[in-house]
Amino acid sequence: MRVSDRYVISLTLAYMLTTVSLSAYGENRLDLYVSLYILEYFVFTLLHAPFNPRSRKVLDMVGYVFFALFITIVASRVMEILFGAGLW
Amino acid sequence: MLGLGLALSGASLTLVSYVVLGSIPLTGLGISTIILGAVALALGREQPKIPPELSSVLLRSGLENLSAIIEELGLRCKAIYLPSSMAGGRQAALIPLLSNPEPPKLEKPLPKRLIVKYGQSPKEIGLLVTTPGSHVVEMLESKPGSASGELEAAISTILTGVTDLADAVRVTVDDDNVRVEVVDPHFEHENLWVYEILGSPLSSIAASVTAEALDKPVMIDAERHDKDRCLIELKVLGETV
Repeated sequence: MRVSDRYVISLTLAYMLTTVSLSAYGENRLDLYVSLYILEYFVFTLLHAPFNPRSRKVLDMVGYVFFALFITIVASRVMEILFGAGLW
Repeated sequence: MLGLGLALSGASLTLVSYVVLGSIPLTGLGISTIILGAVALALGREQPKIPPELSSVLLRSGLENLSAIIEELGLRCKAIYLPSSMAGGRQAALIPLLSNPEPPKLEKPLPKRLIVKYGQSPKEIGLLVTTPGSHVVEMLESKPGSASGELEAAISTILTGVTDLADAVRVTVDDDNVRVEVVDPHFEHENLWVYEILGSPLSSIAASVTAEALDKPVMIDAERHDKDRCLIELKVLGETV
């Protein structure tokens, strides 16, 4: 099996497992879902690197967007703890 | 196409789940589908511009021509992979015409020609050929360092990332010997004459990258192909060439 195929399959399985587990626990915080997806994205991308340079450019761009999103989520949580109100 | 489909259906699912149904797990599912779509779109760019069949035909015809030249000239010496600094600015392999147990000594960088004279004696001439590894080395973003980890990262980038020729690569450096283990190579090994001299494309790539990284001439000492791995032993010739 090619590395890229293995990457997509592992990521799909991880996302499926995360969604099923969190919904089974009755979790209703969307930021938790998104944070875990982002974390899994980075872990599996790193585990299956290196990629073709053309693919890596797009994956890097996706990574930057996810990193910014993750920082926003964390910042919102910190604000919620400090000031009692988050960004959303 | 799959990536775009996944991203669009994920976006629709996210919107409907969040706005209409108010279901967070389904929204999460939609977001994960968008991410998978983005990943599929990124990986779709791995598709080569030239069809694989055509690449295979071009590689095969090139190797057969080179094999015919080598066989016709009766060359038996193993090729010496030279870094670009010693081969006129482009990584190349020197095949000495004279069989000698000792590797030849280079006194100055070789010119960028097919037939080159590498020593003082009139018999010290050889063929300076471009190998599959020569072009692949140019695909590296920067020149790799000489440390074992950097060498492994560079060979791995080429074999698993750029060319998709293998699943994993392990490199161990022990003085003048470099051992490259290619796990699950996606390349069918054949018994061509040219492979005896230049090594298989896998070895050629490993030798080219090593020569460039260490900035020293490298020779393929041994190559063994097992069912799911290929072991390549490289000898760094250091100052002897």
